[in-house]
Amino acid sequence: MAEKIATESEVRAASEKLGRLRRSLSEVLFGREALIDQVLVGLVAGGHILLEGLPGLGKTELVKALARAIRLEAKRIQFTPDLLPGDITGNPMLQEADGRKQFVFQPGPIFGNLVLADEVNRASPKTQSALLEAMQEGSVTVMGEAHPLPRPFFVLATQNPIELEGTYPLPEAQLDRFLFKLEVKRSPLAVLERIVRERDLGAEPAVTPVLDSAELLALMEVSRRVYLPDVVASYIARLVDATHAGSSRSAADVKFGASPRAAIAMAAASRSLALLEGRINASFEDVQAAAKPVLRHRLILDYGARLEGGSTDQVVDSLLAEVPPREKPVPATLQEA
Amino acid sequence: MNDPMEEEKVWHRAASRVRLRLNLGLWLEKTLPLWTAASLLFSILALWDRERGGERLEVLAALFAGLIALSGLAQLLRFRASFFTPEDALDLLDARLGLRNRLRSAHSGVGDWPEPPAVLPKAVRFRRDRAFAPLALSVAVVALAVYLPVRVEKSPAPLPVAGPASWQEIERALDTLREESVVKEEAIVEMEERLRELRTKPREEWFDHGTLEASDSLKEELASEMRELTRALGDVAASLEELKDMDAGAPAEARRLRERRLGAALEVLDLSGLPFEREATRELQTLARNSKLRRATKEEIERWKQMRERLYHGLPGGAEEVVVGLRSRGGGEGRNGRGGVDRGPGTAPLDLSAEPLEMLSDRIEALEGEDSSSGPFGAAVGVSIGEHEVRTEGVRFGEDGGAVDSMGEGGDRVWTQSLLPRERRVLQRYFQ
Repeated sequence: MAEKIATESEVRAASEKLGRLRRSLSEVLFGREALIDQVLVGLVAGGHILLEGLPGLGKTELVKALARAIRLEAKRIQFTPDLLPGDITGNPMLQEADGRKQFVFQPGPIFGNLVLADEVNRASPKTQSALLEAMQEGSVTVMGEAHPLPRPFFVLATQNPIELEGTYPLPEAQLDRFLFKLEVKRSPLAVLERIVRERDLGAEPAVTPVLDSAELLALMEVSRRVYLPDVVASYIARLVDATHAGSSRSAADVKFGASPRAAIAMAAASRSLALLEGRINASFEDVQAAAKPVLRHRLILDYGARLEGGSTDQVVDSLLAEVPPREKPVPATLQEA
Repeated sequence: MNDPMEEEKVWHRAASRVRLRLNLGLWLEKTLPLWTAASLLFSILALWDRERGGERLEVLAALFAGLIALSGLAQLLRFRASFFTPEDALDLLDARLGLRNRLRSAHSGVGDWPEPPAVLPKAVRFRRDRAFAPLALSVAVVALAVYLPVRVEKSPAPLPVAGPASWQEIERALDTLREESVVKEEAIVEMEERLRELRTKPREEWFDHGTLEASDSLKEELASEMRELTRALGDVAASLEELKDMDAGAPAEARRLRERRLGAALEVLDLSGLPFEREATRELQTLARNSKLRRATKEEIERWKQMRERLYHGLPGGAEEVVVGLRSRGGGEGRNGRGGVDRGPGTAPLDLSAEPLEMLSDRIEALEGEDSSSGPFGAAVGVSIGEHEVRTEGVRFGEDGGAVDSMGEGGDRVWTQSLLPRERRVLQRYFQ
């Protein structure tokens, strides 16, 4: 690693800040600690996150709270079937200045630090592509002129389950650009009762800002310098390789496996997870924790498996059971104590 | 413990122990199947050997020990490249202690070594079913093979190194014959060939009933021939001596009798199963002529007597008692039952031959005073050599079938065997 490895003091400080952010968000989002952690990991890893869940489960609330807690410029785009690419990226506007008419680029809602792309699978593929291209490139090109997006730039897209009517499933290539795909489940009864007690309809909950964008960028920089041991890197590589049909028993029903980008994403997520927990090195456990959010939207099951109700989460579970963290298994004459 | 150096040493020592255990486990995993197979093989061989007396058990045990050692060494060398490294051991300790790869990172120079716990737990332990069970099974199988009581099969009888005694006796007799150089070599070679046929039989069959019987038969045949030979030689020597000593005034009848006896003896020598060499026969004939003319010297006759003596002692089985003319009352002039005062040196009492064979000082004759006229029917009363008495006159074909030559007189026995020597030989060879 060319960069200097993060020191324990740096990691400890970063972990404290992330802890504060986690607590701040938890005050707003009841019973969503795991989801908050995963979003923070994705955020620190510098990746975009796809949230999937039914309406009303707190997805938008999470993004708004996050934006306020980090003092980021948050934008929200409600995707609809008639939404055009220019509605996202911005359009050139004809303006008159000093007696001359000229096109002036009017930035769209994508120009923000934290963009909530709500119900992204309701827009047409063309519009979806405009968003995902900007996510990948970090800039928007209009009339031949490139307009860089602000730093940091995060997209938290939400999508309804594809079984719902009026949706346009995101193509596989575009799904690959999301670091995580997180599933937002409904809250348990106790959490629901707390929500009922403490929240009013239409009232915005107060969020205490704990970070600014500069600090977030610094956290991201420390995250990149978290040590990734060779054995952990090997584990990631073996895990991603095993997602391809023929490479493992678990991937027998997989039509297309994960790409090298998935391996990079898993390494970044593992580092961020280690940072969140205040460790200077990523571990096997971090990889295992990041496996599902990273891989579930990157694996394409074959038709037969989908007909039988198989899911990519099941495949990932099976992969984690099949591929041992250490390359060299313990001899058959021994067992781990 | 806050000394980083000391902490590092503790962790490295712990990793070394884990590594040793891992590598031992790996080596056992690769070696135990071979050991089990070797144990089973040894057990089978050991049981097989013990059932046969266990003479090779020590050799088998040494081979087994060598096989165990060699297979262990071979597997060690073969899988040495796959052995666990200290880093592998640290990974295992990381997992066991839930250190989240902290040890591996510290080993790479990232971060401090964590403080080791007061008691480092074992990262791995041996599985009873996979590590100890095969070992115990192997030991049990070997112990069973070595200590299990087995019924020992009797070892087969050792093969004989020497043939029946009769073979040596035949060989000695043939050597004697060859040394004397009086019998034709072809006859000796023929006997040797028959003996060789017996020798070429498998050793297991040397003392079978059939072989022993054939050996005895061959020995008896040779002995019979040699006895006949010595008897004829004795007759020749006695006749020669008598002719030489007979003065001119001796009765012509007595001289003819000696001459006839000499001729008969010479004929026996010529027609014997051990025929004389031509040269020896010629020499004897010359000696006979000289004796008739009383020109034969005592030394010449003595030489033949000594030769007869040597042949006699060279009989298979050694010199034997010669029983001659056992059950006859004897008679003068060689005629049975016709004694008389003029019998002179004729047939001795109880001897059917023309002359007694008592010519050797050490010869013992056992004589029985049994009355042959009252002997059992069909018993042999004696052996004589001569032509058949055939009645050629007065025979009426078709009427005298089955007629006998002599009805015998009171107490006389009917001759039941009246064969010439050559006829007897033919019969003997036929039945051999």
